[in-house]
Amino acid sequence: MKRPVFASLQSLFGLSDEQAMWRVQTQDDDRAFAALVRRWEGPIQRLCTRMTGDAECGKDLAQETFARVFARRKDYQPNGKFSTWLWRIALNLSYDELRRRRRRDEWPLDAPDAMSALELCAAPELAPDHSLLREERGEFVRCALERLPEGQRTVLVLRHYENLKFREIAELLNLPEGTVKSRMADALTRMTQLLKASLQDQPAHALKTEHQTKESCL
Amino acid sequence: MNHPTREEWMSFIYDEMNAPERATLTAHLQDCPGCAAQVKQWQTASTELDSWQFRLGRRKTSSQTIFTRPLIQWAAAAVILLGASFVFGRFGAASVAGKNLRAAIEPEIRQQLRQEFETKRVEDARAFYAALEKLDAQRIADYVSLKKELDTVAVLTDAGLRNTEQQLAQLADDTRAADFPGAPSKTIR
Repeated sequence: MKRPVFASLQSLFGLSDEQAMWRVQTQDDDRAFAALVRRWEGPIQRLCTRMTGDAECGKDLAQETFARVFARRKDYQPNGKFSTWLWRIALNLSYDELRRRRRRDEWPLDAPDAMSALELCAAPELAPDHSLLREERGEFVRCALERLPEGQRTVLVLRHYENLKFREIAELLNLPEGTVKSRMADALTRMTQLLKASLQDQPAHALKTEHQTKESCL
Repeated sequence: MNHPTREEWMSFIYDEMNAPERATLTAHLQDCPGCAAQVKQWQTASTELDSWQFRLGRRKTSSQTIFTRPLIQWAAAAVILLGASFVFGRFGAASVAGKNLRAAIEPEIRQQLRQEFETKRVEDARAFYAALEKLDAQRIADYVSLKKELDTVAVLTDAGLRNTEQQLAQLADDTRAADFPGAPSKTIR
């Protein structure tokens, strides 16, 4: 996702992430920390929500991420990129949350099984208007993403939703760039299978129109 | 046929490829139905991912927006209205009525100004002459005082001079009497 122009200008004339973090690390500068939170809370909350499939959980995890950043400020290496460090913390917290859920066999109550969601989308009488249909399709995508293996989901979320380059994802995950691209191809193939019934239900040109006219919520 | 790898297709779909490589893969798509179908599936899945949207939970920010946005809008409206009123009043109202009013009151204002000016001028002149007279009187008083002081000094000086002469004469007599005992004194007292 592209960052707003105002945020870009702010970062151009203000402290860089690394400078702000250095201040937090050496001087416990609360204003610099607040600036970092303002800059990054959106992307981190989006990442955690996409990874866990739960907006409330995403909010909590984003908060926990920044709490951990402050608690571990002395561990930050000034020669490293702040965003990489921050993404890693958020990803690790998301992985922890997913493992915790798996252990307890606990999933969000509002997350239906992918196949039942597929059936919902395929039933024309349950999609009376365009916005409801779009909402249902979004719900289906959310469920399908939850069914992806963790590694594939991470790459897909970072590349598609957070707009990181393959090279940056490789650096973040300590993987070769080719592996990242390969995982992305696997993720898209798996998503194609999961979404197949839904895609057959709606013609390709309608999908394109819907994609172009969608509201930008993020 | 030499098919591009899946990794290359990912760079193609997410536009992380330079122009010549992209042209090569685009040309391949036109010649290879198998790759074209696969890439189309991936692109469709990628497009479908955007169906999942959600709003970020920024309660503080949204509440700030709720209260501040109308405030800013009203403030902007008020500024525009005030600006328009000023421009209208400044350039629009100074028309015929204003000119007539000005023509009617101008002679009266001029007369008043003239009278005030004359009155002020007379007052200033009186004050000036009064100050001059006061200055002259002060100067004369100073001269009289100075003359009295000079007379006093002259009298005192004369008296002192006479006294000194007598003392000198007395001293001369005393000196002669000591040098020539029995000689008559010349001092006339």
